[in-house]
Amino acid sequence: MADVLNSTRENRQKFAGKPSLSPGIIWLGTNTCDGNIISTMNTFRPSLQEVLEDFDFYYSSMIMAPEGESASEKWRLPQVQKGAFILVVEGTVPTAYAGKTAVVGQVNGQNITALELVKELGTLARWVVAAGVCASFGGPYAAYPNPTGSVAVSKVLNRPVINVPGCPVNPRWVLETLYYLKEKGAPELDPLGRPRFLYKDTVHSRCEFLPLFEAGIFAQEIGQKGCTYLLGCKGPSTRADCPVRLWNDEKSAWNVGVNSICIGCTSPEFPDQVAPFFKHETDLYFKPKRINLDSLALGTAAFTLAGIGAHLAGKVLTGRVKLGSKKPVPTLSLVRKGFKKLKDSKK
Amino acid sequence: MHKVSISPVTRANAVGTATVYVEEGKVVEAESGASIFKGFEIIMAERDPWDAPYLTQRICGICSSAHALASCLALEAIAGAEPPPNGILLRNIIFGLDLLQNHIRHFYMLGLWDWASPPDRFPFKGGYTKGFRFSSKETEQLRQGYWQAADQSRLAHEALTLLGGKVPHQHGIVPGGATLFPEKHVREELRRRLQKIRVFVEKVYLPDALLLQSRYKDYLSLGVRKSGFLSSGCFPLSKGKGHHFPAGVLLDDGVEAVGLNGISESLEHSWFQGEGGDPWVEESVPDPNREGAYSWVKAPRYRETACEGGPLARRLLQGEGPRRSSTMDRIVARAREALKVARLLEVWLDELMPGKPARVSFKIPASGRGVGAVDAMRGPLSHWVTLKGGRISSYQIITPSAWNFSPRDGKGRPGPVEEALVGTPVEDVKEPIEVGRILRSFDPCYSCAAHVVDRTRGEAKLLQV
Repeated sequence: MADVLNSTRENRQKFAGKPSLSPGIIWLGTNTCDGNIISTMNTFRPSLQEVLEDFDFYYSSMIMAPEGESASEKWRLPQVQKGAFILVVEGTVPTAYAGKTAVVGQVNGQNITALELVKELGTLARWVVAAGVCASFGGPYAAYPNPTGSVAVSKVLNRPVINVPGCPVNPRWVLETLYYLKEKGAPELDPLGRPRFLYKDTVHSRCEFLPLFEAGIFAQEIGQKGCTYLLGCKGPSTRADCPVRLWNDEKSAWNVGVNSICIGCTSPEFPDQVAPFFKHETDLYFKPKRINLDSLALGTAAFTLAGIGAHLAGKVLTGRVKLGSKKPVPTLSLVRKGFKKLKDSKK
Repeated sequence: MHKVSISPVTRANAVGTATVYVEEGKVVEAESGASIFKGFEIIMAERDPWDAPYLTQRICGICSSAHALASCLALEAIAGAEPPPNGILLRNIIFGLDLLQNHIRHFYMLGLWDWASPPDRFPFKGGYTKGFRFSSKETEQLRQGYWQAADQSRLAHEALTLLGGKVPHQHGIVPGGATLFPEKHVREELRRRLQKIRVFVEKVYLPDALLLQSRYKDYLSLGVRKSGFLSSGCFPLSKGKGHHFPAGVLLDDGVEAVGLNGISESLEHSWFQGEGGDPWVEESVPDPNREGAYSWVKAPRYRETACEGGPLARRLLQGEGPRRSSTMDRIVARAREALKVARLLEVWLDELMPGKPARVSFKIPASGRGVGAVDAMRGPLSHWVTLKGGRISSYQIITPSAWNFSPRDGKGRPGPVEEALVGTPVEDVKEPIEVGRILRSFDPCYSCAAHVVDRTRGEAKLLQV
């Protein structure tokens, strides 16, 4: 289903014939860097112009012309009151200090907090989409010690939220979700609320350097071309299609392709449970507290990890990976750590 | 006296607020505020220093690479390391592309509807209805420029992706240099895109900016400031010390070198407890109920002077153009800088040396402290980092928008934007279009603006709340 918007023109005309299925959009930035709307504005096919023709963006603080209360009055449009819109939220919802650390605008001279507005619009909307890892799971803006008491959008709403994580979200992830909603309705979601057609595979399983991993050949430092697993790549426990989708919309590159690592930005564990970024998965030490996350995801991550540990240990035993190189090479003790992690996570 | 509030200030990175007091058709007092607080410095504590360049980028979706750069410079300062010439060139190319993306996006996608009437449909309709001076033909031309700009800013980010893997929040800038030395075919891809962007800036962006100036000449004497311009230096030279756009501060008595100990911060009108002072020793605790406070931004000052940063400040410090600061000067300086950078990028691409390293590897010491100062798109950015026991013990960030959008300080002196707003004629208090024009000429980035100094004690107090 990844090609909902591939052909654009014809498809767009097809969608255009279904006005009842083309609700408007309120794109609300809460406690955010605005990187998700910037990323989405980098859309190539369809172009931004086409996207803005296909959807009525009632509100997007980045793009809209109105300002002040002539902007915030769009939250109370009749169409919005009737629920004929998709609410897209980027950013966390701060709950400390009664939400006062995130005032998103005024209505009738009164400050409106992100907390109030997300609850209000989130209850009315036909669908709620969390764009980016902050809105989906908390992400960097809810990282330890979470000074603003930030939570994911789904934590303040009593309804399903479609999570489209990423830091930022890839333009096509969020646009394919929006076009899917428009054409077909709600997509099938995984246990973390992510559209399954977008977050099915791990980064690792589709990585261009998988053959090198299989052969036990690893990059020794950042900036070397190759498999960066030992440098801290979180590809094995991260679900996203970056290696084949590439960024930024027009296929050009991705993190590991430019000799860096995957830091797991589509996972609920990001960033605390994947830090330090440049540490191998079994050596992570920044674990100030557990995020309240779906136990299944953690189990999956730990299981993948244990599996990879065993896989590598097999290579060590058969002599395909040489011990004694400068960087630590996985050994049986790492495999044990992996299993320990799996056990811990099941407690 | 009318109190006019604009909240949310839209067409900016994240939303902010502005309040002006209008008497006899003119602004007599202004308050610039940031309404969202993130506490990112608090989040940085206890982390591995290597995480800082990637994580601090997350402060800002539109100037992420600048944060990566400042963070790397701070860590390199602590270690006494220096990237090889290729590393410096590649970082300059990455940041330069991000700067082009920013400037192009700012003029058209964020700024244009302050001057030209927008199309009558979502997301453009429902705003101000008067004050637009362009003919319908010119308006049509500018609207076309808008969609071209969408394409060109995307193209700049696409080129950046070739070196940074993705953007916003690229991965190419790391301590010690850059991760990737582009092979020949990648360099050709880069060149092709760079040429397209340069032609757009030459043929469309700069002429449109000059057209704007010719229709709104009165804005050469509106949004005016007299003194206080600051730059941390932009685009380090690959050989020797210094920057392509030099660091410096322009005060009443001329240009002088920037000394970090000239920087202090005041908290009088910010939602924090305490008084402020030296960024190294300052402590602050959020206090959303502080009397007289109206912003999450603190008030940085250089030797007690509020300073403006950005393309105009950099231009003045290069000794170009008349020493004048107005709404239109800022907008045109941004366009001229875009052209200059677009041309430099092609030069830097040629200067890359195949076969030579793009990065030097080094160990970050377990303890120490260092500052990484650089100019971001909007002005001076500095990261102040202290390490202890191999971890970050404190991390402080002073952003361009903290300088530009700072509130009043302890002595009641306004921040640069507040200063610039005073005296602005507001024809209709129900449609204060003039205010937004002046605000946006500073290219507001509210997601960067609000920040807090992290200190262990402050953090402990915060957690009890």
